[in-house]
Amino acid sequence: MTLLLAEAGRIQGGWNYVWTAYGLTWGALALYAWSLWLRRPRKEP
Amino acid sequence: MTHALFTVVGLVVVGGGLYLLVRGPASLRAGVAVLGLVLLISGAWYGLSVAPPDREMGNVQRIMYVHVPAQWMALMAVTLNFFCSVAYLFRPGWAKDALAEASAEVGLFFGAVGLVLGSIWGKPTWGVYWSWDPRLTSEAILLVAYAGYLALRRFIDDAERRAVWSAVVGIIIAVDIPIIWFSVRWWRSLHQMQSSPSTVDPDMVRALRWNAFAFLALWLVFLSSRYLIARARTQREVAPPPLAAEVAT
Amino acid sequence: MSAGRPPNLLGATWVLVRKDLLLEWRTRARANALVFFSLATLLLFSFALGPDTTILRRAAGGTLWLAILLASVLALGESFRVEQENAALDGLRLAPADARALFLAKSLANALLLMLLGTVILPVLAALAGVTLVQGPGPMAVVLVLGALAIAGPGTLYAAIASQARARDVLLPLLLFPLLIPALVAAAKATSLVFEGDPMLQFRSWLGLLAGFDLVYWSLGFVLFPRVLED
Repeated sequence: MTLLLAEAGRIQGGWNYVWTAYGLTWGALALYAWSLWLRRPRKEP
Repeated sequence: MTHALFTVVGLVVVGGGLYLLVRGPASLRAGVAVLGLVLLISGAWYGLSVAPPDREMGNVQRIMYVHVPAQWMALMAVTLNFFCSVAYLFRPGWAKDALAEASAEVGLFFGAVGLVLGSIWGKPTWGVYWSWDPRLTSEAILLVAYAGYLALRRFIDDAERRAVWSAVVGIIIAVDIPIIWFSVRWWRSLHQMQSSPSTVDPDMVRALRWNAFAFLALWLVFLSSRYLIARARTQREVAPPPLAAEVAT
Repeated sequence: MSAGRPPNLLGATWVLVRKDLLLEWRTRARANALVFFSLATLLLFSFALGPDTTILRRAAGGTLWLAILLASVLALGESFRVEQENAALDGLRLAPADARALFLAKSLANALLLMLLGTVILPVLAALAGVTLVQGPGPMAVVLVLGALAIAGPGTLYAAIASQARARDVLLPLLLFPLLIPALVAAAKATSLVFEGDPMLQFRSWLGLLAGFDLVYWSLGFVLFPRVLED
């Protein structure tokens, strides 16, 4: 148990922040990709 | 010596990749996008499970695997915008103008993501979401500046004027980058707060590199797509008006 | 254009500066309005931050430059509006040398206006915030000059661009403010040191930053302005 605590570093836990960060990153990438898709140039008829 | 070589190779790869993605079919861009997605997911898996927690920062360190690549992508985009702006003023061309617009928007996107991630990282590390850290503060200023650049582009209807004036503004902003950096550092010099990982485990480096490549693939797709959007718009704007079906006498 | 005579940069600049200043003098209403706007801004800041004079005193340096900066947006926006409305810019779209003279002239005229503004509101700020020029009027004058140049140089360039774009009233501050942050920081800090004394001799560094900023942006504006005006 102490080994686990020692391993985790001085800042305990923090997984909430990590998941928020990753979720935000993926969400932002998806949204931007979607905005590029919506704005894609259409061929003139 | 190896640093210079690495930079040159990197430039060739990025430049060549961009060229291919712009000239190639949409399926190529889709393919690279899928590649990027695969790298992103596997990179996230690696960074979240295989890489160890940092001795000081613990698991919060894992945010660096997305924060740092995002910042790198923003920096690359902004540099590209500067070179396009300068090149445009020397020899105007719609391709340079379109690339300038694309790189500004892509740079703004990755910069905003990087800034937010830095702020999220800061909360458990420094205790606050915003500590006026010189790097993040400078970045915030630059993001506003590039938002202004994009606003300028939106508010000019004449394509040639838009190209010239954006190039001028792009150069002005880029020149301000070192000035902003130094002034903010002096402004904050009373209170230095830098935090880097105290351990550099090879798995950490691997996780960072993996995610960096993922971001690079997506950067290339975003940039080439946005370039094509900008290019199509200027082509529409400067196209000769369609001939009237009936000629008025 | 007139043939023969080669363009004399300084001469052309001087002529244009005189024209602008004469225009300003004849329509003093604009300068007056700017002064009253700055004074109103000072009052706003005092009400927003006060009434504790400790805070006002600490914030005096920044308050001064914020008041000048906000007024400058109006001043700069106006400096091209006259030409814009009378389509005088078309007549002014000249050879690069003359465009450069125009840049120097307009920037100088704007800088002078801002220096005047700063000089006028300084005593009012001193009274409101309870500060004095501990370092004396000399250093204060230097800060005013360098700061005014910092705003006027890039501000004139951006005003020329914004005056011909849509949403120009928003575009000018949007473009100018992020750019000017280093100058604002330097001017505000330097002014605070004039008000409070400079035990650690930092005044020189901030002046250096301001002077460097001025040099870079006046050079850049000088080079780029003809491209902004060309058709």
